[in-house]
Amino acid sequence: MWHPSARLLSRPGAASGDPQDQEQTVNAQLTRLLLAWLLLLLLGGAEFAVSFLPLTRPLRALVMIPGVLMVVTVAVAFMEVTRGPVLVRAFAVAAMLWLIILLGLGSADPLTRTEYYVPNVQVK
Amino acid sequence: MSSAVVHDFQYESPSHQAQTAVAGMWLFLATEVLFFGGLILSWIYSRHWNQIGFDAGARETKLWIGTLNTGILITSSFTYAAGLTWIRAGNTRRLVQCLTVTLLLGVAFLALKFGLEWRDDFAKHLFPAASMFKITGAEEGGARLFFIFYFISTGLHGVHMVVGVALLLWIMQRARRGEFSALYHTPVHAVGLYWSFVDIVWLTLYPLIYLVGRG
Repeated sequence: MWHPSARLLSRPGAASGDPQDQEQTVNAQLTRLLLAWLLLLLLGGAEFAVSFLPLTRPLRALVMIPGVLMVVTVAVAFMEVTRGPVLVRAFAVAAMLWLIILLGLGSADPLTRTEYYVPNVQVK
Repeated sequence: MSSAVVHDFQYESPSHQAQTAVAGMWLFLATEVLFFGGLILSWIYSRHWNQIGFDAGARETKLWIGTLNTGILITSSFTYAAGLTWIRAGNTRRLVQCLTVTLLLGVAFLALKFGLEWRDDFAKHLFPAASMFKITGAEEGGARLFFIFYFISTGLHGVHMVVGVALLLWIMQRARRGEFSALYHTPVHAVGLYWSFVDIVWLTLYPLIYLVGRG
């Protein structure tokens, strides 16, 4: 059975309370978090810089790409979505699936329409 | 409550109880994704029909505050995750220190957003229901729509931040009482998930509000 502490406790020395091994485990995890934080700052800087590129209006949504990568980084590094039990991953995948369906179906009409009906005008 | 061996009757073990609590938080966050998904859809739909007005509205936002707040929230998620790492090793003192920094960053975000940015927006007649709206002409309608999205989305995010700050205070109080240990820290984990999710929401709103309309 998975437990939030399982990872730490499963490491040699951690369960036995060996201070040296425990310190190494903590340092390794803090280093991983620090790297994730630096990556987030880097992606944030990239997103900021890309927003000043002379992109056409429809293409400006591309500014969101670093933002999406930042969301993934937070979910993986800080929320540990990939390390949780199957149920947690299922909830995360389900949330993304329904979000894609919501945004996909919701924006399908405005993003694909090429003919616009104008009321009260007769076309000869 | 050092409940390494204590669990409620309906669970077969403490780890089962912890797993259920964390999964429950993830399920709640899944519903929150759809809650904010509707807001994002409204942005896509409204911007598609009002691109010029939306861009005019975005140019009126305070980029430096939005960018600084992004850095603040990213850092707060990092400090919270560091605190979780420390309590997994049984170090309550470090947990409280990390949570204190997280709390201060959260309060700083709220102060910048509502104490400075919103106040300035109102002063500059950017509230969409204002009779003398700052942006006039062909861009006015779209810009008003943009600021409806802006105030509702940042307001809802702010409410989530306030709840997060209250949860942080609750966790800090329990930590100071020595209720968490290497074996029992499920509430710390669950609140951390919530806090990082609120960070994720902001990482989505930041480009929609401040960046896409510029350039």
